[in-house]
Amino acid sequence: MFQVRIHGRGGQGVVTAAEMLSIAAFDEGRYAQAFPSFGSERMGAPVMAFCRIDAKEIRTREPVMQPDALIIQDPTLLHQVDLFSGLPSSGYIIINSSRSFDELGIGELLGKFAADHLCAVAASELAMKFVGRPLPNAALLGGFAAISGQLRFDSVAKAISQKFPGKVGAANVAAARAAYELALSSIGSPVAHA
Amino acid sequence: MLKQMEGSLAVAQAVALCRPEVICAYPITPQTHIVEGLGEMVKDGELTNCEFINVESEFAALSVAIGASAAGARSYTATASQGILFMAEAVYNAAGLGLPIVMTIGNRAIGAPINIWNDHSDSMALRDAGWIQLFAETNQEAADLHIQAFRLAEELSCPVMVCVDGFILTHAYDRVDIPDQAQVDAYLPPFEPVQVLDCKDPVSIGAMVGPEAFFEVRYLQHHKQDRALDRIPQLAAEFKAQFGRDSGGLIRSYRCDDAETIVVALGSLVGTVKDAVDEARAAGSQIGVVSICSFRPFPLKQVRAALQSAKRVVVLEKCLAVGIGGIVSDGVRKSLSGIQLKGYTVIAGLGGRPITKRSLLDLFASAARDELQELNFLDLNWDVVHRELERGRQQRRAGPTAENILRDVGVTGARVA
Amino acid sequence: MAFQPVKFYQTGTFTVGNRLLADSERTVQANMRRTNSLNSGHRACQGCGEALGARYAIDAAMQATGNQVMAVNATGCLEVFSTPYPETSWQIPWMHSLFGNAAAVASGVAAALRVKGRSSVKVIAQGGDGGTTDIGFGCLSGMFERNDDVLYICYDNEAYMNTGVQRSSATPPAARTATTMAVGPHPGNVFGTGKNLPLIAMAHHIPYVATASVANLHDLEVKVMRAMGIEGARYIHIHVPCPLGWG
Repeated sequence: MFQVRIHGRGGQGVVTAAEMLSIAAFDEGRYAQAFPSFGSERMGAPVMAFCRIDAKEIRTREPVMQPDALIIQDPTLLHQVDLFSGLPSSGYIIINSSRSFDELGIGELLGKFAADHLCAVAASELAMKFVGRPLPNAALLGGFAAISGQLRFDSVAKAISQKFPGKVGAANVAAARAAYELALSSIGSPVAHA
Repeated sequence: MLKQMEGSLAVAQAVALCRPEVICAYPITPQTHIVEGLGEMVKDGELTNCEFINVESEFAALSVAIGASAAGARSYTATASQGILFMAEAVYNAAGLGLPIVMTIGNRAIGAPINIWNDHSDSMALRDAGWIQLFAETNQEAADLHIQAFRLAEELSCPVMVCVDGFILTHAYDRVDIPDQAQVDAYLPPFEPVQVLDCKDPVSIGAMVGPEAFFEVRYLQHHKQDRALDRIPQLAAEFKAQFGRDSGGLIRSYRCDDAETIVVALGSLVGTVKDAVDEARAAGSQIGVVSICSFRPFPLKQVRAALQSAKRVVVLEKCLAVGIGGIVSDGVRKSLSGIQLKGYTVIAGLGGRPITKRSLLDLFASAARDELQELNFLDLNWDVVHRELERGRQQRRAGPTAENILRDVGVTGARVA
Repeated sequence: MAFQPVKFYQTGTFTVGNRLLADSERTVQANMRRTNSLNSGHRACQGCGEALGARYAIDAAMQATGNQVMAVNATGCLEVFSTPYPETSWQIPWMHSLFGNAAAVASGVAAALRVKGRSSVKVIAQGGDGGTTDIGFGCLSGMFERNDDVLYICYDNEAYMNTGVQRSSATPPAARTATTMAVGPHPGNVFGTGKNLPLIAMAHHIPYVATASVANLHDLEVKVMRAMGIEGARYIHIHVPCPLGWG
């Protein structure tokens, strides 16, 4: 089982991101479960969503306590929320930021992780460029696909188009593709898919 | 057809396949997506021959369903928590009148304090009203149980509530096999009412019944649920023959054959328990889990048969009978009447507190060593409790409990669980 | 037919219905073949105005619709005295659910008839003033707002009579009831309280609102028959005496 935990703030499409991941996994013939963890029902509050992917039926319903990958949609959460709780040193981290890990103040913390498991993607900027709105969720999924190798980019693209039909979907796919390629180039080589 | 979709929408699609004729809707978290989904299907013409009515309260929602059902229409509504309490009078009324309404409960805690997250207190609050209560373990089962529910309700002329854990199931994206219309039609024939308002053959429904007859009327309701004990497994078997999978039934046992410790639970919690059971088994523990699907009627015989050979039973409940303890435990204890074994009640997950595999494993280990109390509270923060009690001892005007505790517990958005 | 401005009654409306008018202008009640939808044998008090009003109204509705009427009743005197188990005095399809939901249940019946293609059958919801202006108010407003095809008739005897004459929001100022006793510096019901249901019904912009009294049979029948010819939410407020409660 591969477990993803997505952190962000209400209104940033955290829940939708988890749902799209689950749709992408489903399209690849795998079992997937995506669900939110709500704080208060209001914009701006820290929220989490979870996605589990497996080759067999997923029975457990607890929150993802030991994620294999973290997607951090809002870097302002970095020193406010215990984002890295439960993540092993073999885990993957994708952060939405145009700044480096050192600039974000977590360079030392991330020292124990494999460099090619980490990636900072300027997803909000990419979203602004392709979609015209700073909603980073789709772009970050592109980064996730590249770094983790868990999902083919095509599956992610299809899931995005399913969630956002028409031009909005196409624009989000473009942002995701840009993030995917940027992430690939940052780790140096394509990762074999699970 | 296999789909990856939100639980609520899977339920909506299953209900739509049952050819409902009147759907009434009042929004309440976490069932709202179900009725929104159905409303959209009616509005865009996907679901035909169906009246979708936006009502002004839950009380009105079930009342509209009562009227529609009495006039011979297949009727459906959904609610949760505060909503089922607001319609409580109508819940008893529907059962007493014998109207085959199907209602989804998106299980949610009851306030005060107001809480939108999952536990079973809402369904439990109305457990004696005379409705059949079925609990879904997965979103697949949530969809399937609605199809079985209409069949069961109309056969017995008894309303059925299908209980689906709020957020955990309703808002989770899962793989669900949505049947096709022909399959559902083959399983669920058109509604043929036992009693109906008809100008050609007028009847009076809902008369006042005094001491001379009330007892018999009420007993016959109880008798219906007795019949349901037979029909539920039969309908589940028919469902398997038609749709190709196990869904529903009275109870299910998992790895109980040689179990010394058996856990009993309802709903989505069972999934997490199964994973914990597998891990405990791998570490040498002889443990299994019984999931109860039909909570009303309570399958006393079947629960007895499943538990009687164990050394100890741990009933894991997402509800609390304030002032006495467990609710499901009462039924389990009754089913084990005359049998000596150790029984433990564990209250867990109230108000949506996550139930983790880690905590379950610790619980199972304590149970195996018989180190549990008779009544236990899983992952309750005793420090917080004691601090609040101390506040109360220090001054008379200690302030509202909930607000004091929230201040004490601090910013919860910072933590994962 | 035109209203009859009668100056005063000496012998009651039955006589007026029969002897003073030509055949074609007689009331439904004057007709031997009236449906008698609320049949005799019910357990109402002697002189109950609500029993009268219900019979007048439902018979008129049956006349207007060719006997295609179903009724939904709120809890109250009418429901209790008309269906003493195991008997019923209703000759039409009739249903009682709860105290506060007659309007909602009626909306449900109307929806079922619509979906089954039987909307020529008409639904009447009925309740007393307590069940209409107080506990049933929410459901009534919802029914009005949706313009559901239901005629709601309120039989207003100005208090909760079935439970022993307690005050409702239709009780007139100064009236003596069990919960507004005629004692103390402000005896009886308080001034400045109460609801005007017909006005409230009109504020919902429903197609038809009328007030009537059992004292004027012709007028009542005309209004009910007029209402039955209109689609959508309709409301008739009928003033009925309660010999016990008013005595």
